[in-house]
Amino acid sequence: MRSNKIYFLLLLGLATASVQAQVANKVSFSGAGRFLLDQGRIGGDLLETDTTTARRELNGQALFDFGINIRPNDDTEIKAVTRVENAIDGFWGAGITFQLRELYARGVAGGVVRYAIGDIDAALTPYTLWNPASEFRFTRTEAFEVFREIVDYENFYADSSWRQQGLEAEWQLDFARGIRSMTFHGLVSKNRQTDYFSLPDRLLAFGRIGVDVSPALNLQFQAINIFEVAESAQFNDAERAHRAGSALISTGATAGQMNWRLDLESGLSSVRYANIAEAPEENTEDFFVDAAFRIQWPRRKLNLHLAYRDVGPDYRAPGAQSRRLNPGASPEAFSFYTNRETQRPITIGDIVRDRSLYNRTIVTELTAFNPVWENAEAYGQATPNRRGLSTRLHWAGDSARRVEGRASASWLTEIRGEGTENLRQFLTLEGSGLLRVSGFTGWDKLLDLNLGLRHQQTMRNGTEGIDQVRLNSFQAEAGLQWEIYPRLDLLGGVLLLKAQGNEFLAERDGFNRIDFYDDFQADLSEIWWSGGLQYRFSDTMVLTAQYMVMDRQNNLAPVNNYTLRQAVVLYNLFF
Amino acid sequence: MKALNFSHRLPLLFAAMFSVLSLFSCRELEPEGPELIDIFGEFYIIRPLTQDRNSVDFSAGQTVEFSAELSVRTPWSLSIRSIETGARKIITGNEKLIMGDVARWNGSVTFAPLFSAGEHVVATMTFSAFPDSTMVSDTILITGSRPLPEGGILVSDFEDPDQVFETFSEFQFEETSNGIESLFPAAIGDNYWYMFGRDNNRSVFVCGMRITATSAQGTPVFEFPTENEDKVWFNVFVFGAGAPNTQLVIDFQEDDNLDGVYVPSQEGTYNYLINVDWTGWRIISFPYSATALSTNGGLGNIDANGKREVDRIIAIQFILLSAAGQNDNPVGFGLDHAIFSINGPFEP
Repeated sequence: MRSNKIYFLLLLGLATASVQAQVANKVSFSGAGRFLLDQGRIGGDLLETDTTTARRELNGQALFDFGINIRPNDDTEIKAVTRVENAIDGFWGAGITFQLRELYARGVAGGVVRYAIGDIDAALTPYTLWNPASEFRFTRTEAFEVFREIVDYENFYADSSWRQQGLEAEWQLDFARGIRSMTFHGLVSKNRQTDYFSLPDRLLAFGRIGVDVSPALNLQFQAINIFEVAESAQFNDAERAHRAGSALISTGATAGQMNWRLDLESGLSSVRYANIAEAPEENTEDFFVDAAFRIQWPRRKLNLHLAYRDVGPDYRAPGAQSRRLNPGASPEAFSFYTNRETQRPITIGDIVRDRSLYNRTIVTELTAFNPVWENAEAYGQATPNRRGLSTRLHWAGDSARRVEGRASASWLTEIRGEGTENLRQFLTLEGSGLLRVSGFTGWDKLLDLNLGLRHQQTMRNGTEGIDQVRLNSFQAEAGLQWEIYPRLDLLGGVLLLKAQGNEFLAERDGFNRIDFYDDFQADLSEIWWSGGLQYRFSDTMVLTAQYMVMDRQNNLAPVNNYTLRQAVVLYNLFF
Repeated sequence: MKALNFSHRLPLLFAAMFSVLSLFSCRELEPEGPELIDIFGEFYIIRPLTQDRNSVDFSAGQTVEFSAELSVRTPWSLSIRSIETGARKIITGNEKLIMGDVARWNGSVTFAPLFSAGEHVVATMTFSAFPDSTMVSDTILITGSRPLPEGGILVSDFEDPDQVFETFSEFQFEETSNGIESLFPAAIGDNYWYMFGRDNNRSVFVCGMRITATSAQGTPVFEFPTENEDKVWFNVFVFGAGAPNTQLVIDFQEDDNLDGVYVPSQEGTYNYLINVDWTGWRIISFPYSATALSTNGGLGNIDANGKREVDRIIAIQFILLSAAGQNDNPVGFGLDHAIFSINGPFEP
């Protein structure tokens, strides 16, 4: 009897060890952690008349994302990320929230079909399904990047994709002769949840066929449909469907020391409304054309990009025209100001730091934008009613990669006037550079300087002076990262916005038709300074302490000018 | 990328396709949207403000149609005011031809008290972009008032002497009033609830009043015909006493475990904050979905079920606060006709 027990315990021990070994191979962990403490103080002319706004604020949060990756077999992966978050004033667990942040299963079925179920990052082309970058990202300043990474992480901005929840499948056929291969890719996801009464469910579905004809020729066809599901809301039988499709032809070759590539994309969109009395009776339809020519000189690390585009005024592709940044959102720090407690306008400092100002979902409306941030391409490359040329030059640096530079320019014009026959013209000039001083001096520690400049001009000649538009926006960003002790950096950064002029902002109804204009005036200067220290435990784990000063001078309402001083301690970890 | 023979011809092919598509893109298009000159052109009044009747019986379903014509589209505001009580109805728009349903008045009110039979009203149209231009209508006599909308779940009209109200306050404050009053005209009926005090200790909370579902509806929790929180609206007339630091918080306490008792440390309270910075009566309406979980530790900030549930509201609290950072300020408001409505706001 006793020997049986010993055998049983031995077997149990062996089995446990075996399971642990298997689990170690099949389970891995990932996640993120963050601790943020933020003390702010507001001052300036505003306080001479504002007796209501609290002068100081102390905010913060501690959160931890814990992800488990399970691989039950070689072809399957399951991932779940849970979040525990506690506001800094939620003492003794009072402010704790728990949520499931991410969940998906993916794998390869039968060794043929790649599939994913759950949370999926989806993108097609910049004219069909694309998450265009937000404003103020024309250079990388280390002092600001840690905050920008948090904004991207919190809002699921992975490259240019939109986070969707649904089902995705992709498979490829290879051919022995003729074309080389064909790829089929499809996705269905839920874009909006019904309220069961008046708001119907909305789905997103796309299909893509890629044809690899030869090393020098690729074809790609895609179609996307964002549509409401009839009868999913009891008291609403309205239906809206936004469809867009395009064909992309790419070719390229090597000629001497030069590689060239030509991409031509063209497509159509159609918006259909049914059972809505006030909706347009006819479908809203339009098309776009985009031709991009790229030349690369590999030995010189030089890339040149020339492009022409024509995006029709009625071209509607919500998957590519939804904005990230919401200019009407309320900033988390000092949300309201003045004695009337009006919403404090978003500043450049909020744009860099405040994750809550950003939109995570695809919407079918052309939403509001701030023209002093971006006026030419407020809805990304697929901004409707634009035609023109753009060029971009990128130099990846000398052989030691001590210097890097970019320059770009675009000349765009409207195709159809807004409220007038006169057309707006947009000129955008942008340049940025990075200088690695250590590379010249032979220091073994980092000393990087970066600078980015951006100027945008909007012009429209007016009849009788009424419809005239003159708007100039200048943006600049500069930064310093100096490693004063191994892994300990001295950081400095400055971001500047100056804008002056006027615009007429279109106010649109629920069918994206213009029904009024806002007479927009700007005479504004914002400058944001930041300086501090950063300790890099690793490439994905930093502790930074920075002091920031944000000065806002609005000459159109000088009594509301203010200076915001913030001391921030941030510990950020990805693993 | 290695060049293939036929790839030399591809740029020509592309150029041809591109030319064809570019030809299509030479479009002749009419301007989009309303003409700018129609909005930002010279402003003048083409036809002054008139109305289609000089007496109206709203109880018989009659309405008053106001008409005017402007040279441009510009934001306008039509304020219909009772000469006797100061009750006001505000209609806004930006049309240049004002007629038909654009400015039709059905007897409803924006700033209480309600319009009553026998009152005289005058309408005034103003323009935010042209403050020097104002139009005034002739006097209109109300011969019959608009009946209150039917339906909804009345929380309290503060007229029933038998209804139970639980009051509470913080001792540091001079709480001068927290009860039913009739010092000035009520929004509806004769009485209203009045809270008034003074922040004299740099604190925020002044006093509060609680109404349970039992005292309002006779049920353990408020019962609605829907559990959709977007469809259940809470409405209350709020009288601003001219004390700009006044804040009103409306708490909805949820009996998460449906045991008939609300435990603030374990069960959720969802609230809605209003800055009472006006003078006179105004109706406040919001859907239950607009409320947020309390952030007061131990006072409803933990929801046992982790979600807002409109079918578990056991009581409603009205809290008088003084705006944070202020001291020694008078604060106060009146409350009248607190009512839940379904599918939309209460429109008296």
